Amino acid sequence: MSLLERSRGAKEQMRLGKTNSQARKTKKFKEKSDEVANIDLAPLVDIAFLLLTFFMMTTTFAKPNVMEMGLPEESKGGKAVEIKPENVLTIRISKVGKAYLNQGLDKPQELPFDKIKDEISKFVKSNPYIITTIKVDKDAEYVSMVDVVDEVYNAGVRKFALADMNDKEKQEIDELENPDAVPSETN
Amino acid sequence: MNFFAFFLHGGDDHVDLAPLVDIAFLLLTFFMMTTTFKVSDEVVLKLPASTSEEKEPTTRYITVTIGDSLSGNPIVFNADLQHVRQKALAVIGISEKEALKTTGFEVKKDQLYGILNVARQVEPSQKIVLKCDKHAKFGMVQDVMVVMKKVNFKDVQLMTELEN
Repeated sequence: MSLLERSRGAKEQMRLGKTNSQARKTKKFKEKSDEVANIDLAPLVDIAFLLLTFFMMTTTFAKPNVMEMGLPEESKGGKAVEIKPENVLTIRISKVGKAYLNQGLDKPQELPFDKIKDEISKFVKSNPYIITTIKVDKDAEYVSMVDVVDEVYNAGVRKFALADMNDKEKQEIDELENPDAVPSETN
Repeated sequence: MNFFAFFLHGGDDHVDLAPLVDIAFLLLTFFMMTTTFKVSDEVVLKLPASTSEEKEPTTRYITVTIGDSLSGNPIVFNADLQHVRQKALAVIGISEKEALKTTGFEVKKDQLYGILNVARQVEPSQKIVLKCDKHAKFGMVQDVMVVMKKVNFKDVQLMTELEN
């Protein structure tokens, strides 16, 4: 600001009815406010980036997924519903992780995991009243159960039962897996 | 702005940091809003894969973890709510101070009913997540699911990885 402009400013203040001292104070203030206030933003940026790094390092976007399974309530002495054997589709999983399928009282047949979906959807389409039961050997690995449940779900079955495998059913599977071992056991 | 000229002249030109701060705080706000600190467990798991795309709950949940059969199928209980952990673990004599730990508590199979029962009574709306190693014995998983059923959890969420 030139000297001439400064004196003009003071004169204007006096014209506005301010005393000489008031005008001088205003002038001083104006001079100060003309200086650029320089705030150092570097520490702010430092903290922002520190926090940003922390959150970026700790965030996981790929969360594991979940399969929701209903846990039915215990029956309280209600009347048992009779189901026709041909309306029951049973998938058994042996302890070595093989899957076997049978309808009603038919003999179980081995079913490769990649064919479970197609086979189940065939049965479901032909008989809408069919009830799917999954029976897993207690010594089988958990992954076998998840694989079968996933395939059954993908076949369009929304309700299925997880049931215990009784000794007779287990024996049938053992016979299929070790056909040579059965006669020696019975002898 | 001529960047080369700026660097050649020693960079004494004044750089306006305001846009940088704006972006930093924008990203910071995004990460702060989207981050959820999940409870972790000491047990290392290999999860089975499935095609389910449902995501695990982020708040108000209990986790029961079952390790693989080689390490003896250890059962680990955890909950994201601190007061649930404190009250449920008091059943097996774990103090409130010890229950502040967020990495899970190994429990015995016969202790699980008591713990889950108290945990559910303290916060009935909690969800239950079952995290099992893919090589865990199904017999153990089934026993734990039976306990959950006895405690009256309506459904259980089985944790899996998304299949490729």
